[in-house]
Amino acid sequence: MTPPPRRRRVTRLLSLLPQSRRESLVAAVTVGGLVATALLKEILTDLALELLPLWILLIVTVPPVVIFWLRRRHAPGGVPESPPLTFPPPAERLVGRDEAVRQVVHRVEARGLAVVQGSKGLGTSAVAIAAAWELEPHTARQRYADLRGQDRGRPEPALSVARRTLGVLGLQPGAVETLDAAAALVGDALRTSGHTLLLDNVQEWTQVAWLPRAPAVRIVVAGLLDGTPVEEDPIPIGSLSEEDGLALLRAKVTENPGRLTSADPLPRSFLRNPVIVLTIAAWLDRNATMRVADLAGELRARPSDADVLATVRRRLSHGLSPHAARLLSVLAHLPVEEVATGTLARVAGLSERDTGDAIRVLLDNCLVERPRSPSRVRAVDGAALIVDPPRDRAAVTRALAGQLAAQADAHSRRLPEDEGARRWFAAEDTALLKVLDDAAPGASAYDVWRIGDALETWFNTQHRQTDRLDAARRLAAAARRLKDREASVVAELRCADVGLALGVVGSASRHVARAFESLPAKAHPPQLHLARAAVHLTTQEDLTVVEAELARYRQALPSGDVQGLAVARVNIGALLLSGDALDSRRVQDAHRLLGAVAASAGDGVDPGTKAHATELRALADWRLGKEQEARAGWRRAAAMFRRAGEPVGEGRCTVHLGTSLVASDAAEAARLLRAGRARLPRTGVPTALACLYLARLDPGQADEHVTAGLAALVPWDDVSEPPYIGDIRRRLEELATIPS
Amino acid sequence: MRDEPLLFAVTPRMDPRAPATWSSHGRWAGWGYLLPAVAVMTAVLVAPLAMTVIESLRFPDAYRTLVTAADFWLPLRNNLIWMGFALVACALGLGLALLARDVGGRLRRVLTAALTVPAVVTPLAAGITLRLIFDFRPERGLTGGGAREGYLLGPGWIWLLLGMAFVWQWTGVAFLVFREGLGRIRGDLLRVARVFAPGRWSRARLVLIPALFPTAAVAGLIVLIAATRAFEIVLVAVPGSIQDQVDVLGLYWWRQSDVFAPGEREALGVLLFLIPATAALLLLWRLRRDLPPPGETGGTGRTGETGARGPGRVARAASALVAAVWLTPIAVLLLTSLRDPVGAARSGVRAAGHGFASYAEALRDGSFLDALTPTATRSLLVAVLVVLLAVPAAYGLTYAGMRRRAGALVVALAAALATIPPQAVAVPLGRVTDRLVGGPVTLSLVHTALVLPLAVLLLRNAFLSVPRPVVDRPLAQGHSAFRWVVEARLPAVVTVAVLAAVFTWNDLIVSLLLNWPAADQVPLVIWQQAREFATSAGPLAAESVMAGAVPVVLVLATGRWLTQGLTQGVAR
Repeated sequence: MTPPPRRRRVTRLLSLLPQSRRESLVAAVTVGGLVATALLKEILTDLALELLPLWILLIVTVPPVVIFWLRRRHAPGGVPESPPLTFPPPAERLVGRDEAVRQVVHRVEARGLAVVQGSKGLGTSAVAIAAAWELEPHTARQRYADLRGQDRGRPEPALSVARRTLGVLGLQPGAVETLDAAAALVGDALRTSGHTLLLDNVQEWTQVAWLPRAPAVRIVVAGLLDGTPVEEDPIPIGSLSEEDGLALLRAKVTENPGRLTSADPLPRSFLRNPVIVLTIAAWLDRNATMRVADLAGELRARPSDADVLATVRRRLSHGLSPHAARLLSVLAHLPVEEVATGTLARVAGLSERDTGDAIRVLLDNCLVERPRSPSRVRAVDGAALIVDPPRDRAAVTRALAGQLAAQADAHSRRLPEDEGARRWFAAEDTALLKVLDDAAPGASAYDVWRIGDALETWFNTQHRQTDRLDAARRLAAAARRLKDREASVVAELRCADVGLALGVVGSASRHVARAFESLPAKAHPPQLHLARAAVHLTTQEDLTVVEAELARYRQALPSGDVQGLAVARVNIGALLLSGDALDSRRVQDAHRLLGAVAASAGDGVDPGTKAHATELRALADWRLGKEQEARAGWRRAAAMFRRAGEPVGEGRCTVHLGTSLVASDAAEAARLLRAGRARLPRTGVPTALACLYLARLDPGQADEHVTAGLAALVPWDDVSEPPYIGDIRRRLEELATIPS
Repeated sequence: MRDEPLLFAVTPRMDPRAPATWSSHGRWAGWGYLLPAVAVMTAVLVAPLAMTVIESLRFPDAYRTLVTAADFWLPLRNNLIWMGFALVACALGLGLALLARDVGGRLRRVLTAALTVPAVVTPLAAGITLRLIFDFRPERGLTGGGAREGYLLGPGWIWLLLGMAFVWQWTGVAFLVFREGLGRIRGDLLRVARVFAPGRWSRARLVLIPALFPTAAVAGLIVLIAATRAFEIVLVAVPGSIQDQVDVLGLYWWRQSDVFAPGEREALGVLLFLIPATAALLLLWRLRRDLPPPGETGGTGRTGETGARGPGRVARAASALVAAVWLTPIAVLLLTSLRDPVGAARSGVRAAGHGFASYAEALRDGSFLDALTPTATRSLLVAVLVVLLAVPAAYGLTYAGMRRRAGALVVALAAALATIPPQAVAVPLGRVTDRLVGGPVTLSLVHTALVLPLAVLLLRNAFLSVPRPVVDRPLAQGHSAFRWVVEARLPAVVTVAVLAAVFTWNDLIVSLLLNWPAADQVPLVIWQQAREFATSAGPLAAESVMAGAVPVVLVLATGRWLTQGLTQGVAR
């Protein structure tokens, strides 16, 4: 076994240091108390010297032990293990579904994609899994993803499904911004690897409509699949025949199966639904002396399968132990769909052992399910209807927020390098967003802060700009509900930041204005002035405002904030390079200023800011007529952005480089522009410029590029567009009218 | 359209950090972090010092009687001579730091180790070593072979011995500080100097010396305080017959303690504090004026460890020579300890025969062994307490929202308290702790309080050099950045712990003033042995080697951390 790296050991040791007021107080009281006791003891006795090692031992060991104990009580849960990539094990005995399985296999072999559609409880997944095993018996070539999301009633968005699919196939999902790009990548991966892909529990067709279709790929999708078009020819999974249902019931009842041999008074129609059969089997196993007839009377009065299921489950829930009942009640009424068992234990206030025992009981009674990760658990559908919410529901919800916030905080500090932290966020990011949505007055603003910050870090490292915007908006809404002005301003600033990155300038401007209004002028943080400067720099409405706001930003920075000063200088450089009339003296000033930032030593300035300065300095070189220097600068800046983990910056520099070669080396320019565009978001000025020059260089696909370019120029709503945006738009439209 | 100029996007840079100015802890949180350290320093240093001052003022004639006494001026003059030694050590440290820039990495490490080892052995061992080399009996001393009897330890020449012992011990510290300071001189400054300043001297005068002033002030402060506190070296290295001629104020206070007129002892204690405290505050004031604001040091490119030229042959040879010279006393001590006790007493290092008889002799009566455990446990306890108190205090002074002016005041106070000599607080402390001092905790608290101000200053500087992004995020959340700051500056914390442990291990004066005659401290045992220097050179050398081995091993084992820690600690 490899020993843990020294840095981690040190970090573990350091984790024993107090981190909060409460822990500091405990440590101080413990140390102070021990020292005082030691002094007292010396006065009272002459035996101190003999007992010295004991006192030393106590003073050195007790505070860390106390802190460790405290920390353990509030420690974030472990990292969820990676869900297995292979298909789940096939059902031991799949009754009455042979024809459906055969159809699925045939459909995949003919078209590359089979859609298995059926309501919950009918065994849709079981059919898809059996067919997938038949298509690919080698586990090394199996790939599986369960699309049940964290958010009840809100299916996972298609882009998120696409990213998840890419992750399952071993591809880097972060930088993919469009479904078309994802489809191409998935198709390539499946073709070259020979993997068979099974996407289970798909709620809506739109979640998987983007999947590639080709004979060389093998994909099975299964689930409710609402809205599947007829031309996709889904394979429906209907009810079982009554005989098959009875056979399934007989196969599942292990305790006293003789009860089923007599004349069966159970309404036959209930036997057509496999999940009802399995639940009745669990009830019979729990009640070895009961007979089916004992249920029949009550079930006959139920109009629908759901009612029948709820009735049997309610009966099952009546005989549960207090721990199991508490756990079911908590789990069924949590705002999130599934949760790690450790978190559930803390939220429910039970020990880990009691929780484990209770979960086993609930699993045996078909009242909870395990998703693919064995450390996680979810209540069955409709569980909220059969058990009452816990009496302390508000406290449980707060505890869940606190637990998730602590875990998110701890894991976000390990991003982006730590694989475990990435896995944790991949499993929980939807739950975190849901907690932000559900934060009601009375919730802890501190938890909301931490969750918002952790999500910002996670989405930022994944370069998921739209998700960043979504998280920031939810944080802003939560902060408004909790009346936390500072959190609200941070969220608005983030919205503005993403808005500017995506070219949604009108929205960015509104967010900045809202942030300004929510705090008195004295309390405006420096970032607010910077955001306003950035908006005005983009709109070019009034460049004197940019200058003034940048000055305010610099003044508001805390003393010694080298990073902040560097950011201010980069923006002053950008200001000097903006505007219509550019004189060479301004450009030279910008060149000098940006050069100083780019060359700044030490770790005070982050690499991304230095890369940005290098990018703009290269632009200054270009404006001064030094083309070679400019290209070298952009190459250098692109490499710096790559090292800094900023693909958008890298894409921008690649587009600059491609643009600079449009006149001299068309082929290389087109290659660079394509490469750069792939790293940029769908919207924004750099994307529009990449499309503009691609349209010029590639007349065959000019229309496509022009359309994408115009779409990248998002309307600025109530903010008037500056001339350079109009210029880009005009050039794009001119290209569209030129016959190719 | 083909002729239209190419368009490029000019993208502004955002600052995604959460606003760092918000903290829910308020301005009093800083004082909360400082409180434990302030409580200990007040109880152990400030209150006894105040009592000393009050006691000295109760007798209006005390100061006049003291300064008009005939035997007062000689120790004062001698103290000035010690300050001269401090200047020599600093100059030598600077010279060696300049020299070390031009040699390769391995030789630089050897030179650093050779210069650092003397700094961490107890001053007693330094005194004993130099006395072994310059022993006045020609058949024993290393240098006395061809000399006239009594030549080297005559009353005048004794200063040579003392000076060399001090310079040998403290040049290493000055060297380390200057090496770091030279590394931090801005590269562009040197490039400009090379272009505009003609000649090496003008370059040094116009650029190097002004740029080095803050570093020189730090080095000067440390070495100056050591010089004003000179006590053990004089006590052990100078034969009893001529000790009164080389007395320093600290020693004079100790010798005359019982014969002073009322208030006179306290008045001298106050003077002993005021001299280095004034020097420290002056240096601190200059330091504040000359230093750029935190975070702006480093500028555009450090000069790096090596100069622009490659390693020079002359520099390499000189460095090797210096390393050899600096290691010679250690070798003499080691060789003497390996001689037969009788032979060592007669002929010193040049005696015939090897063996561990001197070690056996040193350990025979058990007093040395008995003192090892209490000394070690006390050192460990002090290291732990200093870290527990100094780390929160330094954090309180940096990122806990304390007002800048209040922080500056605390720093100035800490600098003044760092210079307090044990003599200035010993009498009231001894009176209050009379019944406690036999116990290890009380004495450890005294040691802790004496190390604490310097530890806080060192850690504060180290914490201030933590990159802003590390602290911004937790602070913006209204959360403490304590753990992240400590994690980022762990080497400085380790350095402080090691320095505290070494200080306590080597201490003689506190034990002598507060714990005498309970000889449960290693330096006390050695000092008692040193009273019979003429007959016990071998065992004394063996004890010095054993006592010195602990801090040397500790420092060498944590060398990488210490280098980083000192770099972070003197980085401003």
